[in-house]
Amino acid sequence: MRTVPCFLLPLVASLFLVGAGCAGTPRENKAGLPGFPVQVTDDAGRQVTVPSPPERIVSLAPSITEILFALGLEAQVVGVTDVCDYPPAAKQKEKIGSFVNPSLEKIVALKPDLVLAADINQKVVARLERLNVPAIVLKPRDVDGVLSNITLVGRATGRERQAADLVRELRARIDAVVSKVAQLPVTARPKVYYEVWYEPLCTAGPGTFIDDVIRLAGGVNVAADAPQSWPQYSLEVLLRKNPDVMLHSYGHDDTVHQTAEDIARRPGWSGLNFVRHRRIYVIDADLITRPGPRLVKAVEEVAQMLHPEVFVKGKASVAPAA
Amino acid sequence: MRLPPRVFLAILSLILVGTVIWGVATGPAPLGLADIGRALWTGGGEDMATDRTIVWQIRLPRVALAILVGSGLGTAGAVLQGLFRNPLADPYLLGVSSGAALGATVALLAGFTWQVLGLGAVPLAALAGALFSLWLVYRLARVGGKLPVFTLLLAGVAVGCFLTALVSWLVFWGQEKIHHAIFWLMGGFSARDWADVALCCPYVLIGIAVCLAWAKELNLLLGGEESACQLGVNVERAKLVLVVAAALLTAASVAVGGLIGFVGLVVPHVVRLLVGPDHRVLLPGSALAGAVFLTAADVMARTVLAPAEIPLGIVTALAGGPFFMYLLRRKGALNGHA
Amino acid sequence: MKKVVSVERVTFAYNGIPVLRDVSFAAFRGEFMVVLGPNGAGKSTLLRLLGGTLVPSAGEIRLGGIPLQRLSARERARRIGAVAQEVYLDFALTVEEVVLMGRYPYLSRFGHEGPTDRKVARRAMEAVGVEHLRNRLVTTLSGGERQRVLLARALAQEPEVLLLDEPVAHLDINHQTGIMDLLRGLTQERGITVIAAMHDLNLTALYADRVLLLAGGAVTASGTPGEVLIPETLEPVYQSEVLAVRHPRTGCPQIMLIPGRNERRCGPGH
Repeated sequence: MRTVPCFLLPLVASLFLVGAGCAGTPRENKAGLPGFPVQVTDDAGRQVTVPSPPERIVSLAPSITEILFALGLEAQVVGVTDVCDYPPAAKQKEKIGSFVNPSLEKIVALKPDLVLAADINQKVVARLERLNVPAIVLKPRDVDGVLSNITLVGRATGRERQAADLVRELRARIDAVVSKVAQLPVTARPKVYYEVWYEPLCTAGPGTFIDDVIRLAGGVNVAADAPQSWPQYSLEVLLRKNPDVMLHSYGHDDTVHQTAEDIARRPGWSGLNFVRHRRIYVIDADLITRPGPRLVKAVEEVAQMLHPEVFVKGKASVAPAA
Repeated sequence: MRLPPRVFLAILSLILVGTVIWGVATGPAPLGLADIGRALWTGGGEDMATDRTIVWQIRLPRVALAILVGSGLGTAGAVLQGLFRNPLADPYLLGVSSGAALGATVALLAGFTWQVLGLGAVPLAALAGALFSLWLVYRLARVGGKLPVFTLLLAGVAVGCFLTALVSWLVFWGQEKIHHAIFWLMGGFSARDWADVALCCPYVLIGIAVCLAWAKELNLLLGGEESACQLGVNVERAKLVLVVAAALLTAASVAVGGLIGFVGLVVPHVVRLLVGPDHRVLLPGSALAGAVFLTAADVMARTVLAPAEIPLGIVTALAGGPFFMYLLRRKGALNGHA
Repeated sequence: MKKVVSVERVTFAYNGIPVLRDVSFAAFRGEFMVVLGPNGAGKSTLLRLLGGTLVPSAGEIRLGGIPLQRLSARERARRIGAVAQEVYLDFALTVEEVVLMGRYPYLSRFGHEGPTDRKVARRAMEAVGVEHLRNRLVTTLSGGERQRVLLARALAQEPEVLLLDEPVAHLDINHQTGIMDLLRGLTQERGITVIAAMHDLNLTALYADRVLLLAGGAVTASGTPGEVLIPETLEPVYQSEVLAVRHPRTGCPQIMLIPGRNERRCGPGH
C-alpha cells in the first residue's frame, strides 16, 4: 500500500490526526459544581465523572502532555507516551508505550486516577472504562477545539483558573494575528501548499489543524476543497493550482531532509510560483500538527512567513510593522 | 524416527502449562511471582486491587486468547494442509480471513461501538464478514453438488484477493481512522478482555472437536479422494465438514486477534516432523503446539520493547519466516507429505 | 454359483461423451474375471463404476442383488475393495498403518482400531507377503512392494469383491506371475470375486476364469479365455493380425503377435 506512508508519516512524527465527520463537535462543559466530583462530556460524547482532583494522571498523546504541563500539572503526571517530548521535563516521566499502541497493563500498573486519551486510543479507553478508571477522550477539529480542550482539562483536573488564564492569553495572540489579517485585501492572501510527503505528493486538506492554521494566518490552503483530509496530489494538479507559498516540516526530525534546493530541483517544479520566488518555508511539525498550546505559535510563525511585511519576526506576540 | 504419540502430547501439554505460567508472570508491570500468586488465590486487600486487575483482567484474558487462537489456527492449518494435500496451505487460503478483515475494517471506520451481550462490535463484525466470505467461497467452488478441491482453492484465493482489495480501498478512504484498521490488521491481543475470549471460545472448542472427530477421514484423504471413497469415506461430506470447521476456527481467531500469520502454516509442519502425518496425533499436536507458540509470541510481543507492544503478526512472521525457510532447506520435511 | 455382481445395461457418459454403452454382465462368487481391451476402451471407467466412485448415466449395478447406489459408502467399502492403477503413497506412514486404513469401514466415528482389526490387517499382509515390511515407511518401498501394500489394504476391508486396475502393468515378470498367483489363490481359498482390468492377453489366459472384451465402450465378447482369445474376436478389436497357440504346460490359449512389414526371421542360433 503505497498510500500508507503518506498517512503514517504524520503518525510517526507524533502528529494528531483530526477525526472529521464522525467526530462530534466539542461540546460545552456542563456548568456545575465548582468542586469535585466533576462531570464532563468529552469529545467522544462520553459522560465522565472525576471523583476528586487527580493526583496521578496518564497522558496518551504528546499534545495532551503539553496541555497538562502548561496547566502546571507536572507533578501529577505519572505516565506519558514515548514520543512525549515537550516540555523536555516530560521525557523524564514513566513511559506507557507508544502513541499508537500503549500498554494497557502499564497504564493500570501506574494506578492512575485520570487518563487523558486521543481518538486513536479508543479501545484502551473502553477497557479503562470497564476497569473504572476515569478516561477522557480529546478529539479537537481545529484551533477553537484545542482551546475548548484546555478548558475541559482544566475542569477535570481542578485547574480551571490556570486554564482560563491560558486560554485567554492564547486567544489574545490568535486575535492579534487574525485582526491584522482581516485588514489585508483578499488578493493579498497567498495560496499555500503544505507538503506532508513527496512520494506520493501528499498535502493537508480540510479538517486538519494545518488547514486551520493556514486560514487563521491569512493564507488560502490550496487543498481546502479536497474531498479528503489528506489528499494525494499529482504534479499536474499542483501545477494547475500554482501555489504562492510552500510549507513543509522536513528536517525537523533526523530522517528526511528536503532543502529548498532539493525541492527546486524536482523535475517539472521549476515553473511553480513558490519555486520561482523562493517562498519555501520550514515549520516544526510538532508546532503545526499537535493540538496543544503551541498550535498558536504555529499560527504566529506561519503568519509571519505569509505576510512578512505585516508581521515582524519575533517571539510570542507579534507586533505589527510600523 | 517418530515420537510416540502419547509421550509427545504429554510433553507438549507440560510445555503449554509452563508457557502459560510464563505468560501470566511476565509483563511491563513489575509483578513478582508472589504477588501474582496472591492475586490469583487469596485475593488480598484493597492495595492488591491493581495487581488483581492486572492479573485477572489483563494478563489472563490475553493468555487465554493466545491459547484459543493458537490452537484454532494450528488445527485449521493442519486440516487444510491435509485437505488440499499441499504443504503451503494455511488457514487464510480460504479467503475467510479477508472477510473477517473486511468486517472489522467496516466496523472500525464507521465507528461502531455498540455491544451485544458484552461482545464488541468489531469482533462480531469480523465474524460476520468471515462467514459471508465462507458462504461466497462455497457457492463459487460448488460444482454439480461436489466440492472439488482445486476450485475450492481458486475460489478461496479469488475471494481473498477481492476482499483484501476492498479492505485496502476502505483503509485508503478511511484516512484519519486508518491507524485503527492497520493495527487491527497487524494482529494482536492488546486491550482484549474476557468478552473476546467468550466470543471465540465456543467456535474454537467446537471446531477443534469436529476436526478431531474427522481425523480418520483426513488420514484416508491423504491417498487421494478416489482412494478414500473406495475405503468407505463419504468424501463430499467429509470435505464439507472439514472446510467449514477450519473456516470457523479461522473466523473466530481472526475476529478476536486480527491477521496473525505463520501459526497455521508452520506449526503443523513442525508437529508432522516430530510425530508423522497421522492426523489423530497431528491435529491435537498442532492445537497444543499452536497454543504454545502463540502464547510465547505474545509474551515476546509485550516484553521485548516494553512498554511498547509489537504487533503480534510481526512477531510470528519474524519467528516463523526464518524457521519456514529452514524447513524448506530440509527437504525431507516436505517429502514426508507431498 | 452365486451371482455377486450384476451389471445391467450400464451406460456412462462423461461431459456428454459416451464412454460405456449398454454394458451388461455378471460376476460370480470365487470367479477370477478379467476385463480386456485396448486403451480407451473404458476398462478403468467400468471399474470405477463397479467401485461406486462413478454413477452410471443409465442402467444399474447390483451387489448381491442390492443396487450399489443404495449402499452407504461404509457398507460398500465393507464389500468391495479396490486397488487403483496409480500408487499414491507419498506420506510417511508405515505399511501396517496403511493397511489398517482398510479397517475404516468397520470403525465408528470415534472408534480406534482394536485387536480384531490388527489381526485382520496382519492376515492381509501375510497373504500378500508384506508382513515382514510392516514397520517400514511406505515411502521407502519399491513400486511392486507398494502395489502389494495397497492390495493388503484392500484385503483388510474383508471384501467379497476385489477390483484391480492394471495390477501387473509395471512389474517384472516374476512379480507378475506372483501377483496373479496370489489373486487366483484368493478366489479359490477365500471365495473372493476378483475383477481385474488388464491388457496382457497371455497372462490373462493363464489365470482368468472368464474374460470380458471391451472395445469402444461396448462388450464385444465374453466367455472363457478359450472362447474369447481367438483371432476372430481379437483382430477386429486390436486391428492387428494375431495367431493363437496352446501353452505347452497348461493348455491355455496364448496369443502370438504377427510382425508387420519389417519382420525379422530367426533361424537356429539367432
